[in-house]
Amino acid sequence: MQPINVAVADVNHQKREAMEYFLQQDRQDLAVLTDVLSKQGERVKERRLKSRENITLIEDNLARINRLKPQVLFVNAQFFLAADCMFFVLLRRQCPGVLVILLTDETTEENEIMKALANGVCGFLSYKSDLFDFLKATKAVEHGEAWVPRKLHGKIMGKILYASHKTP
Amino acid sequence: MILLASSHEKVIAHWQKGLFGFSPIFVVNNLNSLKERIVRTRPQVLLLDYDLVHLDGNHEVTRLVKLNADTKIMIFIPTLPDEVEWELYKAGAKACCRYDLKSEQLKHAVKMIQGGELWIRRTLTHFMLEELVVVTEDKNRIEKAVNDLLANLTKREYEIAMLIGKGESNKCIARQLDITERTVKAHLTEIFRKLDVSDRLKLALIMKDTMTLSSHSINY
Repeated sequence: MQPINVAVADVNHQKREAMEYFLQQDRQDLAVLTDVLSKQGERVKERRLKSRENITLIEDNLARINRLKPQVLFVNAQFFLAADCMFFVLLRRQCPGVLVILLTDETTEENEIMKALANGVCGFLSYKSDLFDFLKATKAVEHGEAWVPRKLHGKIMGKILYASHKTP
Repeated sequence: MILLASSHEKVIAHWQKGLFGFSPIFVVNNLNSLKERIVRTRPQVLLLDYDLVHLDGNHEVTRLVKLNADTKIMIFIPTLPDEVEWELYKAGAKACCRYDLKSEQLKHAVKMIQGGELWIRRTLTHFMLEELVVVTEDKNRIEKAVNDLLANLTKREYEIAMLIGKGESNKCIARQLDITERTVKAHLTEIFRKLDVSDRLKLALIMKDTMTLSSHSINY
């Protein structure tokens, strides 16, 4: 079976690389797409950072995802939930095939997660989840399922029904 | 209270076995008695045989939900295409289960939906997220269109429109804003023209929705 191509989006480069390293432990089902080159890595990174001084973090990340074209993208919730989920709106427009899983920590609130789901995110996972959970979530999302706990299903449906009755 | 609705004795017997320990349980075997029972007894949970409603599927479910919005409906279905099953959830069903659902699972499903959760197959969840995105986009589009229209109003016209949304009369608005009723009427004529609405009831509905959307916007 072909491995699933995954990538990580995080404004914190160190955190992103740590997550990529973590996911690379699975060599069978996941293929982690990174732009860290083996030898010239630092030089390339430096040049890239310099050439991108004038673009926003959102634009920078969108360009990177467009270049990598992963099937599943893990996104740090902290930064990308800001600015009315603009990142997710643009991502859906520019890379419609990319399935997004939000990475959350204890500071991420439920209404923020709901907002991300309403803007096209396919599921969420805690940073503390083990590799097996990452694998399960990736496979489920790639298979066309949502990766959200059962207790949220009722709330999501409640929002859908509320909005459908309000919308003419 | 749990209401069981099926015309098949075998189905009823299977449900009763699974619901051992739950009470009170009532049984109906046709659609008319079901409707009458929902209105009269307002059951907390309804186990509904798809056979009773299948000719008009999701529309009939919508009608049942309207009879008592608090009744949580679990529908027992044969194998249906995913899209048809999803339509039943959109109509207001809280669970769609196969007829051969095991007793333990039935018990679990009933407890879950009694607790406000949804019993849905994982393979259907992408419909749910897709629908959430669609309704959010619709909501944002409508909100923007209404806001664009409201932006054309003067500050005074906007104040009056908001008071209309709260159901105030012209007399009351005039008193609150310290202007004459005639001035209120003149402002209203201008508001109707700018928003392209024909009467105060339609204006009130638009303003009420605007107020509701603003108070719910935090959730999206």
